[in-house]
Amino acid sequence: MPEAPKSQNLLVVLTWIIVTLPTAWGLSYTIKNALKLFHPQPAVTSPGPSASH
Amino acid sequence: MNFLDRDRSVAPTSYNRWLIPPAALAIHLSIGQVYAFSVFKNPLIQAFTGSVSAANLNKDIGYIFSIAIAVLGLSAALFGAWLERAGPRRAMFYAACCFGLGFLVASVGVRSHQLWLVYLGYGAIGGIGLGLGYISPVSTLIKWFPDRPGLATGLAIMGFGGGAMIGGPLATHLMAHFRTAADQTPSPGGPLATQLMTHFRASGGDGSAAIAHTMVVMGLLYFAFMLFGVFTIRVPNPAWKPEGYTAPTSSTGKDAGLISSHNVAVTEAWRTPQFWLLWIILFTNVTAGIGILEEASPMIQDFFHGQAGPAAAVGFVGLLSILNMAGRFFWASTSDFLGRKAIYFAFFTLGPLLFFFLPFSSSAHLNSIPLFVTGAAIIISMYGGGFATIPAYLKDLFGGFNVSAIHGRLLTAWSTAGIIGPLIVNGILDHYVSNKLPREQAYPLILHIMTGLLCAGFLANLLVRPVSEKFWIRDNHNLSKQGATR
Repeated sequence: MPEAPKSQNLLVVLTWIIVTLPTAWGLSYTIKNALKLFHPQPAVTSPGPSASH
Repeated sequence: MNFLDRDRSVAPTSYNRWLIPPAALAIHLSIGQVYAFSVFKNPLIQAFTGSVSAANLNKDIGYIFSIAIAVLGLSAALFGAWLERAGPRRAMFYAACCFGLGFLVASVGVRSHQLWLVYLGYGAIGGIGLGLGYISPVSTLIKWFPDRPGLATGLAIMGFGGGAMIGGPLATHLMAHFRTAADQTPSPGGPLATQLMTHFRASGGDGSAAIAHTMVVMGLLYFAFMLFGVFTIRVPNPAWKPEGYTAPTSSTGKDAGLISSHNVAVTEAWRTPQFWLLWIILFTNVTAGIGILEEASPMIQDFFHGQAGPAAAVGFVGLLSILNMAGRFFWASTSDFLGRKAIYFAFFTLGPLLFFFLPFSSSAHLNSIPLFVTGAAIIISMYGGGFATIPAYLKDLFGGFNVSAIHGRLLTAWSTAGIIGPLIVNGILDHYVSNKLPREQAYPLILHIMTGLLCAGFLANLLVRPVSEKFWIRDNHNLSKQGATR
């Protein structure tokens, strides 16, 4: 089986960066929100929005 | 549009297969936005107040998401066989067109206060984009990664879970931006411009302009991002196989007896008991997951009165999103080593135990938030894992020939769960609320019903056996003519 050209390796890195960047942005935003779970909050008993499935 | 033909997307034998998962991820990260549709809910309610009956407004807006998910399942089932013939590039292109166009039509509906246009746009047209996009990269990935089908499909379907993490904040930021812009933009250019700006501000005072503009921007952005996937996707050359790879035989590897060396056509697959057992497996796993996801935020607040407030609940929902995404990759890729049946065995033994004991972590019993959060997080990781592992399970049982089409038909289990799950959860909650009973007393019943459902899933998984020879495709010549590579 022929070996993949070196230029393709660079293309692989680039394509992964294209999909990783928006994911990392979304993940950091979600982690910031998730951290609120570990901070003590004054209790309010009204139900909040439900999660999406 | 010859560029979209299957024949034009065959890769040279030197093509690097690691270019394929990003193409699939581009599609799934985009269509996964549907999971974040709830960020539009309150703004839409505000925008449609006055033009839709107030009594049903909440429910009417909720239908947009339900239509999208129902059409996802239907279109995946209907177009799966066509997709196998047309190839992934054409299917992904149509998915991008439908998903992008859906946003644009919905934006017109929001701006003109015509809810039916939003149903048509985001629900029906966008829903077709969801269905086509969801299944289009699956069989291609499996053909590129015959040695690691769980890893490959797990990567793509992880993107669907992660799409909400991008779509949610993106929509929130855009709506905030367009609201601010509408309030602050000066009106240079004379009296006509001033009059027009005044008119637009007045007509968009209910926030409809900001939502509509957000939808237009998102539709264009997602279309462009999905096109990246369209240009990158390739089907493997028939002569290609991974270095050192030998196809598993009936006597080698984990789950060896279940891994078929033959293919089953989609027209035959749904006649097999294995298809319906997998349907039950997916249905029970998804319905149970919805039992937590549907009420995640109020559940933690009701279980831990005085300890978990709305901010903590937002954090809890965020944590579940992360575990939903991570579980898709972790469980699906682990299934390559442990076997598909063993992974679902883990879901259906650990899952019922966690669902059964979760109510005992509440303040009325053990009063342990960490225990509750850990249990729910593991459950949601298995919910995601169930979605991501099923394509590889299908490939094991039915071969790779028609796996996207079979997967498409199996996704009707998801649509069904999307209806039944909320019906169970909301039906029980409504009963408790209407009888003036505390909401927190309803959750144990809901969770214990889910325990029972998962036990049914356990039995279905236990009954899975190799597909009978009578369903195998015998004509290998015909198979290669139709574009299957293995």
